[in-house]
Amino acid sequence: MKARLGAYGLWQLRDFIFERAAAILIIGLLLVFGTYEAIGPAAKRYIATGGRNGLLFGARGVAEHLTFMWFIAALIAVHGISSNDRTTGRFRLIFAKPVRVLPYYAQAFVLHGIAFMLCSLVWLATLSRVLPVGGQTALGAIAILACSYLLVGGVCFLMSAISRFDWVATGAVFGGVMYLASKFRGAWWLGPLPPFWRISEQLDLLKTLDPIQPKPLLWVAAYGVACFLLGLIVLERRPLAT
Amino acid sequence: MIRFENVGRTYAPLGGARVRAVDGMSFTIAAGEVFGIAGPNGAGKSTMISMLLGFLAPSEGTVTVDGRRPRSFVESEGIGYLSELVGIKPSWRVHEAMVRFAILAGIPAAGVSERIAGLLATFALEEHAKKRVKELSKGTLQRLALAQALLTDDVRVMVFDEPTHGLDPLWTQHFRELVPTLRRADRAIVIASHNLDELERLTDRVAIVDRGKLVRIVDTRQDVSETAVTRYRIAYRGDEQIVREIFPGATTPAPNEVEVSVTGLGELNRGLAALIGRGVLISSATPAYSALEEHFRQAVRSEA
Repeated sequence: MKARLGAYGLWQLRDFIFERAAAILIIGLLLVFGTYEAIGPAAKRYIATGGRNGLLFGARGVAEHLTFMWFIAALIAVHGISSNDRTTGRFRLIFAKPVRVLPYYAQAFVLHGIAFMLCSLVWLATLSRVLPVGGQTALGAIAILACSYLLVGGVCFLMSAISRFDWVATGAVFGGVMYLASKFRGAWWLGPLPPFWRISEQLDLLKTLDPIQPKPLLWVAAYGVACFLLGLIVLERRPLAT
Repeated sequence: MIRFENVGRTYAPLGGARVRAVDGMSFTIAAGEVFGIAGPNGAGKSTMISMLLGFLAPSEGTVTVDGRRPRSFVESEGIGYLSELVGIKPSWRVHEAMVRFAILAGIPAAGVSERIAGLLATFALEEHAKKRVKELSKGTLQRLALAQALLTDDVRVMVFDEPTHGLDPLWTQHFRELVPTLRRADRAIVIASHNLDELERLTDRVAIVDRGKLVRIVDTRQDVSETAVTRYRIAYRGDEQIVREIFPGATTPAPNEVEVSVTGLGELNRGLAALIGRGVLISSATPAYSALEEHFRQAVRSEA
């Protein structure tokens, strides 16, 4: 017999909704609520002028939210994806069944990504009720969030395959890289590091209603996918019971 | 079916001392056999089982199941496995846990409900079906773990790690009655337990391991009492001095009782006949330990 992994995907999705989606949505919706509360009469008048001014105001709002959210939300979506099973010993009963390790965790990563994007859409839709969010800003935000998931998720997936302390390790890498990128802007040796700062650059473009650049985002996505694939290789080679 | 060939496993934790958990272990387990693993804490039982399931790779030697790497075997056929530490998510409900494991076990969608209902009934889990795993008592959790291990009928390898841990006497008895029904010509069953009496009742052979080494394999179906030095407890009425003359090394655990060491039933019966001949009345003569317990004591003591 073979595991019915596709059917099990529904349970993986259910786990995401109950354990992670709620946290992501609470953070996102609290930010929206905070923005709603903070918009004073002057800002409302500014928004009411419509046109580019209104859209600019909305774009700034979206970018500010994303600056706060993109890393944390993606980290919530992926952390512990394989390491939790090892830490708690749950892998023993799961992988005593005819289940292959790689498809099991690869499926979880993909499903978490889809669910993460659905959460992002809910957040963006709610935010657009408060701020004027133009099509370009919305598409840009969606592209940035998708790439954020791939990059943060990919790095965290790799860390999760290596270590039990994946979210701490991912946070440390993120903090270190962002510090180095701000201190040594444009240095050639930043190239091989996880390009977290590229997301920040795209958010700056989003703020000014400039179109986001596909090339840096593609690099971000490719880097994340490469980390994810490396994570799969580690999972394939590492013993589960260590 | 299962083969360990000169298997060794060393743990080398970062910054810690290297630990030799398993050392030069070789044995085979045949299809149709119920095989026990016994050993004190830290003897290497869990490491052996982890290697058998492919959760750990040996540092040396090879482990094969049906001629394949364990992981490859498990991924293609699955194993009926009860782990010592039951790793079921505390927030799952009992029925939900069974459904999840049934899907992972590859049971076709049409057969899931019926199979789960049968197992929940067998292990008296119906009334707990809606409870969360964290609400279960140790014994009920162990029954759930047993139930999930038996989800598929067609597995060719079953591994039970401390299967009766936490079970009350009634359910321990149920488990003992269950194991013979699981025996099949094409299936190997492995039971690791601290409970030597249980292993003696259920298994064909028992591997005694100590400090990572296979000390001996005891055939529990053979009468070992003819060759092994065995301790017997003799209850008597009469002169203790006579008893001590006939069994010089006897110890006295209680009034009118002695424990004696003899090699085989012949020596025991000659001693008893001598006692009776000199007027001592014997009310009982029973092994102080079961044959397997005796083997275990000797094996572990000789390694100490």
